[in-house]
Amino acid sequence: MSMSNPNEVLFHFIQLGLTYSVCFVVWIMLLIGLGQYLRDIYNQIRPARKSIRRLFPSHQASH
Amino acid sequence: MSNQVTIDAFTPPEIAEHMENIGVKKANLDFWSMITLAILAGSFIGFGAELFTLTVTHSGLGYGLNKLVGGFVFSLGLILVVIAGAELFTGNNMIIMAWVSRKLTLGQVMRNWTIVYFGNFLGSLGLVLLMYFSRQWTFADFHIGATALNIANAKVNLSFTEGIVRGILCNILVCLAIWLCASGRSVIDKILAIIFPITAFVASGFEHSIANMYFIPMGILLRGEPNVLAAAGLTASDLVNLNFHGFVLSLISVTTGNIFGGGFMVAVVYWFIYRRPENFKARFKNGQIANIFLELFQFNRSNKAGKSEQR
Repeated sequence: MSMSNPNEVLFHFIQLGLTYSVCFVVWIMLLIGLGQYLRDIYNQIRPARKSIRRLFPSHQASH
Repeated sequence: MSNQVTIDAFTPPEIAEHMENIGVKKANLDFWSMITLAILAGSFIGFGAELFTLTVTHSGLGYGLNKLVGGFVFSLGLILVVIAGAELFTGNNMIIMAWVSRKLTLGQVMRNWTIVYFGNFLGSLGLVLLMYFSRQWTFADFHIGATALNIANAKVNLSFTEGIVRGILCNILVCLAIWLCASGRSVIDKILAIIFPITAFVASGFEHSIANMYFIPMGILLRGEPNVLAAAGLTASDLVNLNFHGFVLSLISVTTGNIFGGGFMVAVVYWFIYRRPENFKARFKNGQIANIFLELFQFNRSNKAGKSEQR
């Protein structure tokens, strides 16, 4: 693509803008969503971790 | 009369409510049901893709008609998904509607998408292996395999922007097919509602991330077959991008486009038209747009929860 033509430069920037804005919206949403999903998983396994600690108090003390 | 029987299609506001409720049900499925249904959906879409490959090989039709017939038979995939029941990632992008209505959290949406995407991948790969071992690609003097190879090679040679834009356009049509399906009451209604949007997206050459999970791995397997290469008139140097790296890059761009097209350009748009809350306009006018987004992403709630835990 020759950058000497102003229309082509404009078209190129519109194309880049479209690509990056779609990626930004989707990837930010996916990142936040995956963070929340992992937090939900952690909250689910936390009670289990506590009960394991209660079952093995000596293991906890050794640390 | 409340118990009046009707055969009229559901109206768009009824479809919108129905889609929200379906989204909640889908997101609350247990892990094993969800992954099994997702594996089924991956293989169903693979069957559509396989039939497409077979049909467009040496059909003797012109370019447009050939694509049209290919698109028509590809509808098999979504018909199986909708009528037989399965969890398809691209269709599940519509779950966003239940999220923006605050019936689901973003974490629940992401749980569904992650499990379903992985399950679709497993289902597609399983079908690729079965099709490869069936040696169906040797039919018509290896020209079935040559068509599969050409399709896969064209898909991995798309630029990033092309992948995103074709992904957006594809999932607009797929989610519109799902939307139209929800308006139907009978199996025939649903099948007819699926055929035209799916034919349109396949014939137009748009990109479907789950279909690509069949097409590209099939091409990667077939690139090592000399007879297929000879039938396609290709050499190894023509297929430099047809590898795992090209597959992953293609999936990233097409999946991003699919999420944007289905989730934002269909689900959110229809939510805004039919399901936005009464006070949305007033809050928008009062400059509370930032609060709306923060609530949606649960930043306010998690901060409050964090503070109460600290106390």
